[in-house]
Amino acid sequence: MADYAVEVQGVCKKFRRGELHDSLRDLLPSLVRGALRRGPRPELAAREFWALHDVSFAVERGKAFGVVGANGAGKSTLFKLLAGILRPTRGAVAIDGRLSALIEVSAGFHPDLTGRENVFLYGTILGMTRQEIRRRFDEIVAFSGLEEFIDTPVKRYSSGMFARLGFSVAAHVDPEVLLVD
Amino acid sequence: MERSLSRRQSIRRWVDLVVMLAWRDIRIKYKQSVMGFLWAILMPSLVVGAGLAVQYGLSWYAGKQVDARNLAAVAVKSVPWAFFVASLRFATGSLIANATLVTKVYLPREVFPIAAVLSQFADFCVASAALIVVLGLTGSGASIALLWVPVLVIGLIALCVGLGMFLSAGALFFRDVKYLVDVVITFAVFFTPVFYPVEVFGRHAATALLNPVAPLLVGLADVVVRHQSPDLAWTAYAIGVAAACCAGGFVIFRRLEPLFAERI
Repeated sequence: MADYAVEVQGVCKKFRRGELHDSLRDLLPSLVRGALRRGPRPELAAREFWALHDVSFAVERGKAFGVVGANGAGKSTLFKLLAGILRPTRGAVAIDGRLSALIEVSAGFHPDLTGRENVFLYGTILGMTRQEIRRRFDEIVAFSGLEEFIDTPVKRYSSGMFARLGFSVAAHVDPEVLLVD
Repeated sequence: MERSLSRRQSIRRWVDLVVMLAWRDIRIKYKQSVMGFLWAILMPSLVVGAGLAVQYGLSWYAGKQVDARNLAAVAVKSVPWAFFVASLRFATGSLIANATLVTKVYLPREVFPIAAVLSQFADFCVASAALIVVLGLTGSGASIALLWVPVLVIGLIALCVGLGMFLSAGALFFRDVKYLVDVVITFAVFFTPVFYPVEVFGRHAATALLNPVAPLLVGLADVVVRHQSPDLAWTAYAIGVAAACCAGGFVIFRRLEPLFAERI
């Protein structure tokens, strides 16, 4: 049997267009309609659609796996399902090992904090312990090449510096499974 | 062996996450402010000041001498009350405030409301230290009853965490929750024996104590100012409610968590 790091089986994910409930005025009629409906519920309710339908694949340990598709094909949805951010409507996702997802750096950084503080903050968010970060701190900073600016708030950074520091932290998490969107 | 190690590792990671998020909130709050951490003392002092004004007003109206012990009791109840209010407000909005993290990274999401309460607890500690100095200088004295303080404070924290988890999940789905919490908290000070003793409620005193914060606050005043044990039955009741809130909040939170990223 092959050693799989990622296994995805028959995964489906359903989303809904438009607002959930615009107001109480829409909510009440829809509740009444739902209560009065006879027969089995249709698989897709009004305004619902499949973002992913019956997706299966497996990735062996040590292999790179790419997903290519047009805008709106469901790549990011798949990414979020793998990362555990979303739960599949049907099917199963199994990840074996420590997982880390490379996300937009802006999500984890706080502009008012210094580079040093953000390394610790972002590192813990990505799943490192403070001890691990302390141990690898010099490496992370050296890799980003931002030694001189490490005690400056990141809101004063250029967007390039911002991205460099973020990537540098993410590169030191040492995951067994790395997701990149 | 390996398994237990990885379990310990994941607990470590969880704790570090809570600490870092709380630390981030504390850092941001006092960044670019000249007064910095002094705000943690000043804000509760204002609440205490308001309480003392009410107490003075009531005594003057009743034509009685102002009792120094009553004043001390108001101060001792106001500081934890300020903590309760701030934690609840902050925890309720904690998931919404961290929307980018909720939708982009997988984290055990209960860290957000818990870190929110923890960051307010840091302020509470600073304010309490200031209060202890004032009480010490005014000769309030110490006694064995002070051993109750940690029990009561832990009860208060548990209540904040439980309600915070429940309300933060609620506010994620319905923003109304945030406004409701604001309104309820604004009025709650009138129905909680913070600025006056619980006896003011007369024959409704027992009803007032049903609010689980009330026995904890009254207990703290009993212990710190009057050097007597708190009412055991009411303390047990409040701690029971706090524990139930914690357990219930956690269960509901965990059940709703899979929907967080889609519905925020």
